[in-house]
Amino acid sequence: MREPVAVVTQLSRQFGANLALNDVTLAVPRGCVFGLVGENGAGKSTLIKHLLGLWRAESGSVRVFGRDPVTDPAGVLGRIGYLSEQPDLPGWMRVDELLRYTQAFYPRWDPAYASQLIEQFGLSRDARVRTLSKGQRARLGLIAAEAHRPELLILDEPSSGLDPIVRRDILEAIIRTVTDEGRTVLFSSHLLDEVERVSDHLALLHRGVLRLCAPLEEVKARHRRLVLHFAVTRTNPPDVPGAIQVYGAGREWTVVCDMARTHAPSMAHHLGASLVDDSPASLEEIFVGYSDATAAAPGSHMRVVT
Amino acid sequence: MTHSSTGALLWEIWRRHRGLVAVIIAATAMGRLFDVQSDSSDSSVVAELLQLTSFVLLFGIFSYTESGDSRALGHFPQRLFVLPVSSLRLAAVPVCAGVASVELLYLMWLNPAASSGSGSVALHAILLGALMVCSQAAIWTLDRLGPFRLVVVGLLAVAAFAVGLLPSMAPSPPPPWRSEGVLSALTLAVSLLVFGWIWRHIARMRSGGGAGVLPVDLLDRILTACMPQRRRAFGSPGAAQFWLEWRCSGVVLPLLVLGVLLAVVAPLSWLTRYDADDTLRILIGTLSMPVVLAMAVGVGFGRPSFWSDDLSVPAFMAVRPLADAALVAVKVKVAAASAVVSWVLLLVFVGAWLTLWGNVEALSRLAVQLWAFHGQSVAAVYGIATLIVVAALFLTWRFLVSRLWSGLSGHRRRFFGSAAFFGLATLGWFILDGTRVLLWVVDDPAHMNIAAWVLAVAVVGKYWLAASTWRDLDACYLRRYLWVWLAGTSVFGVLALLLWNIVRIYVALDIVRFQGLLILVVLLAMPLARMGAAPASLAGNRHR
Repeated sequence: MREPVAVVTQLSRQFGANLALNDVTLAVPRGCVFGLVGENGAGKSTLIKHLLGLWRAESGSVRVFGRDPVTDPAGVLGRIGYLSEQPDLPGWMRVDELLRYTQAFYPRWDPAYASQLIEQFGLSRDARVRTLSKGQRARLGLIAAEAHRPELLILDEPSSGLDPIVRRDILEAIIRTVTDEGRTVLFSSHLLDEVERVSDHLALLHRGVLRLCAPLEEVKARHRRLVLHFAVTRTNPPDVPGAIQVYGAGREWTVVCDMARTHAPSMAHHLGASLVDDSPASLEEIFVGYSDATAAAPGSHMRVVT
Repeated sequence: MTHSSTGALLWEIWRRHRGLVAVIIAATAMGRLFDVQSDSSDSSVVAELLQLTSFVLLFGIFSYTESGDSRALGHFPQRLFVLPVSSLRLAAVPVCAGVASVELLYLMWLNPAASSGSGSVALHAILLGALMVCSQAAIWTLDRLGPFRLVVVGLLAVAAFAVGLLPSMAPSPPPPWRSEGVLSALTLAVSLLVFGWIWRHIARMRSGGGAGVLPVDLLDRILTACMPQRRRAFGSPGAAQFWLEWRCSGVVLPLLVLGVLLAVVAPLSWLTRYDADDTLRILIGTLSMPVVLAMAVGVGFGRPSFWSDDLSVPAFMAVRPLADAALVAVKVKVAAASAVVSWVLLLVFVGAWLTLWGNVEALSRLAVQLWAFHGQSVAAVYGIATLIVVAALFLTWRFLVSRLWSGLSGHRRRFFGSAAFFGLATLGWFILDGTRVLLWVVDDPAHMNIAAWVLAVAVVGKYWLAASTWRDLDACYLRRYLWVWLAGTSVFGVLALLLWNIVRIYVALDIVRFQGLLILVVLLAMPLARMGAAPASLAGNRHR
């Protein structure tokens, strides 16, 4: 098995009273698209900044390509392409100047590829960055991040606030990147359909805690949406092992649960209910189940809606 | 309760700044008390400091700005744009209140202010009012300049001070254009024009900026358009970063120097072209100008991003695969290039001025004295002139890079504390007349001993700090900087040698002790510990 491109071990980070990352441990496998999801303030950008070496680990460790990005920024950043939600490109630069400037830092820069992307995105080389629209800036940032064919492409909420066409361009860039052997993409997003479309690995952060980190197929396979019918009306939601979300009322209750911890028919039988429906849970249901604020009980992920 | 929009706007200013108003009143009362109770120079100095403080605080109140980031200087409060109040009133209320307040404060300080200055009370009052209007205009309309608006306000204050001195300058009586009446009328006219500009600016901002272009934007666009477009690939990451730093911050000092040369020195030198002594005075001022400007520009240069109030390293720069020491080294090189270009521009101008329209009589007298003193050697005269220019160049560079250690750290308190300390020390030097301290030191060998001990402790402290800050740095970075440090220190050392040879002729003093003092000062002149601390500061900011 190949060595992961990034390994985060027991990483914690605190901002005042707010614990932004709490004992996060994960590994980003080489050659995959690693989707990082979580609600606002979950710690996604903080984790990405640690991977880039922009934040120093308060406790725990971060290794990218086996190196510490804080002590060896030149060695690590030279192999990473990074696009942030709002790329802070200097407004006074022209498109061509920005690309020449960026090119100087990356020996593997591919001018033909950059030209192809400029043409594809319809950018003018002589345009000043400050005259570009938000979508055009995102495309320019993408070219700057992608044209040196980085081993690890990190995209922090790249499609936030962008129109569907720019989002398509970004997704295509992600797909193109992974088709090149050995290259890896880590991207954070709120848009679960995007994540579902391109990711093959998923990590879910909630309030700085890593709730889930597994291959996407495994996540989808093991999370089920069960509809239970009870013979008598229930005033309390059923206590289902591995449940992350329970909603319903009276005699019919729907449970979204992690089936790695339970077996549906025997569980239904044990509760005295009949299993009306057993279908795969959608990524949105899984996300909401793990992320909802009401899942506050320690050791439990369950959200109850009645 | 307020019953009118004007009353409400005035009440808000009062409500927000009542603490500062109390401080101003207290400072004024204390200052007047000092003036009344004692005639000694020490109490006068305290009164002057209190007077200065009260005026600075008053100008601070009527800067009338707000910002989403409470740490930034901010802009005209745009939340007021939705009030059912005309733009004229929005502009007029803070301007009129500011002018009325500054006149009132001037009235409260009238006796000491009138006794220490020159020119009439009326001209001073008009100049203060004009300064209030112009500084408000600078703060509100030039918000693209960020904190550098304070430098503009400082320059406006210097200009107002200079205008106040014009009627008292020789010859007496002054020509009509320098008379108090004409200057007062001109100042009033300029103030009214500036107020019109403020009004128009606020009206346009209120309507979304309008179709026109703001003056600063226009200047920015012209400057950007004048910059040659980079069409070649960069040879190395360092070259690319140098280009970026040069375009963002390196050009500022040369442009400022060029601006002052064309807007101030050129007309002034033309007006005084028949007066040899004025020519010499303007020449000395011109030669010191890049150093003085570098002190102000260095405050911006020391930060990760020259034009931003935010001291954190922009992500665009932070993710570049360059080591922290390499990024600092680029900044140091850009500062050197900036200083060299500024001095080349200045020397070309001075050469043209002295050759084409300058009266070099007084300068020639000085050159002849030097020539006679140094064994009638023309080479020595040219050598000294070159040495002075090179030393001034090193000083210019020094002031550009001396804030890197605090600016790159991202710690606002450290950065602004060090800048404020430097500013207050400079101000204190002028207000408390620092030359008196120098005379006190050289007056008595015992005093020289005290000064030598103080300087020796400073030198030991500096080198001890340097040893600890340079310990973990790349040897290549250290080696390169040591050459620069050696060159600068040698130039200052040779200048000190020349100085004590001249001083010993005119002043009877203990020359051995004086030599020791100068050597210690030379050892303190070039930054060493601060340059060693800069990469670590940047690392702390870049990897938070």
